[in-house]
Amino acid sequence: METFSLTINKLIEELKKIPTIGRKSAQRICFYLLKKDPKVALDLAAAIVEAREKTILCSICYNLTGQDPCEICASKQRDTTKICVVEEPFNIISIERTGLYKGLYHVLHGNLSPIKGVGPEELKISGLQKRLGGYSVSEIILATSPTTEGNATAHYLTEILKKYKIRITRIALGLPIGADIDYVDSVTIARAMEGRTEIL
Amino acid sequence: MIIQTLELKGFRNLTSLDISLSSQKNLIYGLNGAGKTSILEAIFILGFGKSFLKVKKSDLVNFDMNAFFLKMGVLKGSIETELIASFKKNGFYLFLNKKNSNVVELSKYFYPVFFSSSNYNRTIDSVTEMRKVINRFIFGVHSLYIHYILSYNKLLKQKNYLLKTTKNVLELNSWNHAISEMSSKIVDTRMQFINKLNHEIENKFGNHLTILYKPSFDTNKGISDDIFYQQLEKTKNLEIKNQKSMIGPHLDDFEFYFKSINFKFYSSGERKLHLLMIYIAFIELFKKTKNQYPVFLIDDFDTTFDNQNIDFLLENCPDIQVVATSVHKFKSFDNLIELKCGNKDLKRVKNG
Ligand SMILES: Nc1ncnc2c1ncn2[C@@H]1O[C@H](COP(=O)(O)OP(=O)(O)OP(=O)(O)O)[C@@H](O)[C@H]1O
Ligand SMILES: [Mg+2]
Ligand SMILES: [Zn+2]
Repeated sequence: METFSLTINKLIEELKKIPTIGRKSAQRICFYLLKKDPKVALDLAAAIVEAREKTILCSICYNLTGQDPCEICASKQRDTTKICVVEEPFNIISIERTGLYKGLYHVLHGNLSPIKGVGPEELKISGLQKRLGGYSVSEIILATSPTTEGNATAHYLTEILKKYKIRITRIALGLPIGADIDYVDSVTIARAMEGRTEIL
Repeated sequence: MIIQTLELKGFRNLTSLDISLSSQKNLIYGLNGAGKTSILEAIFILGFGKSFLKVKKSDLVNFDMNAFFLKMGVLKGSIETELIASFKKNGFYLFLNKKNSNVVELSKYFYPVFFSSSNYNRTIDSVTEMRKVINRFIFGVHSLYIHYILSYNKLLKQKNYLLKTTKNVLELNSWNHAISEMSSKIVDTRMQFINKLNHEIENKFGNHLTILYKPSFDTNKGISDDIFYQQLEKTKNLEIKNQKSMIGPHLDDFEFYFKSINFKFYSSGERKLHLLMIYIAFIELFKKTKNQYPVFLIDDFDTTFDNQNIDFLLENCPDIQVVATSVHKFKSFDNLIELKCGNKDLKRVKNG
């Protein structure tokens, strides 16, 4: 597009890389930022830089955090006998919103997908196995989404966690076909948490 | 359900067409190349989101134009809905009453059954084609089936990719687990559907005509995730060697028999009549499940049909809307639409 200056185009291209943002939204955000009081854009830029610089992965659960270990892993209030395995950090927010779950988490950062080149090594699985050695963990809750990749990942985890002789449960089963865990409301997640089914 | 109006723009040779249909028996007739099959193809696309032919959407756009637009007014019970399919450079979109929609949503208001009088031999001779026909049938009466099939296809793609790239057996096992879960749903649904359809065929035409469902998985010990997983486990080494999936619902077979003899051994006219009987039985089954008739599309209505069979067909579909095409006109239809080449001079002739 030659209609805009190079710098504006660059901003639009960068915004377009963000998930769920297409060309139209990118243009709207771009012009919103450029037309408003400069402070709006500068504050946003500063917030992004600061969050980016101060955010790291928790060395235990791989959640995004400002401190290591993260608040959940460091808390004395949490039930350390349970670990809920999720795909992405934002899944934790959905489950925390229900207020029902008091255990720990583990973030895989994705799902198995041979086509996308994601195998077991690309996911934070060995970190999970390490945690099972030391802790008094008695239950692993697999909360990957009920998509094809999410299911395959849950099956993979079931296979490799067999040898630890702990309870393995799956909560995705109550969720509708095709639904990602993040799009499902708190009530549904709460119901799924209560009705989680035993795999092993 | 009834198609009331149909408007096409830039579709195949039909640069612009606007027709209304009667709720009963419609016949579109005209010379070869007039665009008759294309009209049914457009209707089909509004039902299934794709053509019955293996073509890219861009090939459906008129040579001199850069987009196609299909709009259909449908009556279901007393509810009128508007279905739109549009294809432009930026993609293919479906709309229901002007809102963005999808095939599953549209199928609640419109479901066509398509029978091609010139291509039925391909259906009988090709396992893939037959599976497609049966899949489409089940899609019409079972709301979750399309999700099963889509999920299964995704799983299969991932597994085949894995078989070509790594030899991680543990990872393969997990895909097999997911595949066996989806397979048992599909096989179970197909089994139940074929039973129901056979029952319907027998009700209507006696017990000479049957469909035999031959799943790729052995179902003698039952249908379950575990039973199928065990079979995948047994086939695993062969699959690794061949670098592709060798067993599963994507290889299921359906065979048609008349008086215990496979359809393959019958004459063209006989095959066609028998296949048509199966379609008619399905239409009855659809009616029982959904409490209404689908729309019956029949291409090249007259080929290899004798007069007796034409009457047989129309007698067996009393209350259903039929949209048929042929080169010649037939008096047994109540709405005759002549399609002139290039469709510029469309003439409507009321029968009688
Ligand atoms: N993308 C396209 N643009 C323009 N014309 C096309 C396109 N694709 C196909 N055609 C032409 O449209 C015409 C109509 O084809 P169609 O199959 O609908 O005819 P028909 O009336 O069913 O003929 P028949 O009696 O032979 O079955 C053909 O001449 C075909 O070559
Ligand atoms: Mg034709
Ligand atoms: Zn942590």
